[in-house]
Amino acid sequence: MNILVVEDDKLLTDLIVRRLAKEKLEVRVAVDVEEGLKAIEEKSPNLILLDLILPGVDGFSFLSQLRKNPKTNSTPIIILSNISNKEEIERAMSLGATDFLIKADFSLGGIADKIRGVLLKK
Amino acid sequence: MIDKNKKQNIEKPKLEIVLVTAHQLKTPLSALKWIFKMFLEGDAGSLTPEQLDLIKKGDEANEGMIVLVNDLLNAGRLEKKKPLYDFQRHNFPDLIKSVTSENSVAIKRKEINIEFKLLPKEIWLVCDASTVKMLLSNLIGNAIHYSSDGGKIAISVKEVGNFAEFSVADGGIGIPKCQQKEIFSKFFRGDNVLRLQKTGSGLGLYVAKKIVKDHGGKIWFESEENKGSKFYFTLPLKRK
Repeated sequence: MNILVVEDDKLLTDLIVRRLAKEKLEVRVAVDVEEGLKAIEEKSPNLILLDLILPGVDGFSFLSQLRKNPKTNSTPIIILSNISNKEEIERAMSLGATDFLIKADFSLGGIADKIRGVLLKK
Repeated sequence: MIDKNKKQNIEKPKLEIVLVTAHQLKTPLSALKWIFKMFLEGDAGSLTPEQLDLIKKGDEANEGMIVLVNDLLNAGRLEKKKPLYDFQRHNFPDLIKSVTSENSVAIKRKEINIEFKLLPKEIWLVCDASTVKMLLSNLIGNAIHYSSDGGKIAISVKEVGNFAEFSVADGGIGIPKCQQKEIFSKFFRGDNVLRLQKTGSGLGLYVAKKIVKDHGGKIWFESEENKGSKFYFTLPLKRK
């Protein structure tokens, strides 16, 4: 299973990659939308872990773009963000996010459990 | 003398700075949380009892910072001229049960005994569920935080006229009599709380009062130092 992490914070991506490698998941990282699209073109991910605040195009626009793209319209997309107000969570869910996780509320073990749960359902 | 409009013009950017800074702090705090938890969950190999104790202390301090930053963000959002409330019909006891279950880790850790003295199956009210859950979480969270290990907390909810009345009582450290007038003000911390070095932002009760007021209810309390506190609030069943 391969996961695409779209996140611009290097420390966070290092930790995510380190922890998800223990789950025997192949993890690729994109720091912005451009890199994300390139990574999807190269290989379709089984799941996308997406931050919302990104340099350039934000995560909301990317999410909406991914849902219109036949290659990713049914790919599970879990939002991993520290945005925690209800309106933004509802906006992401209405744009087609599979789940919304607030970074500061979860351990990486908890995030790995959520990913596994979504992949098993698929 | 600064006139009111000028003061508001100064206050607004100040609030934005606080909100942006608080939000920025969440990224490094999340990273620290992930690192501490990786150690505690054994992802980095086994630890000596001393290392484990130090990591646990670091994790607790970091969790305290996350609570503080969340309190700042919540207070900041509610300070905005028109906070966005989404008033819908909700079953109040379900909101209470959901908040209690969200606090189950702390309840278990402190071996707190929660007693639902009066909890009818249904009391429907029109409210903004997310802020009412925040209000319940602040009051129930305080009762847990300021109780001793093995303490007892009693929760009760009933209908009184056109209102739902909630109360939560603890046998914790209480509030010194001379400071009771100030407890709903921003950044208030009791002297006894400071002496015991309990973590907290001093914003929880301020936020609680704001939410109750915006819903058209009332909040009050009874407290005796070293014996405990009982907080009450009412929320209208219907919106006018």
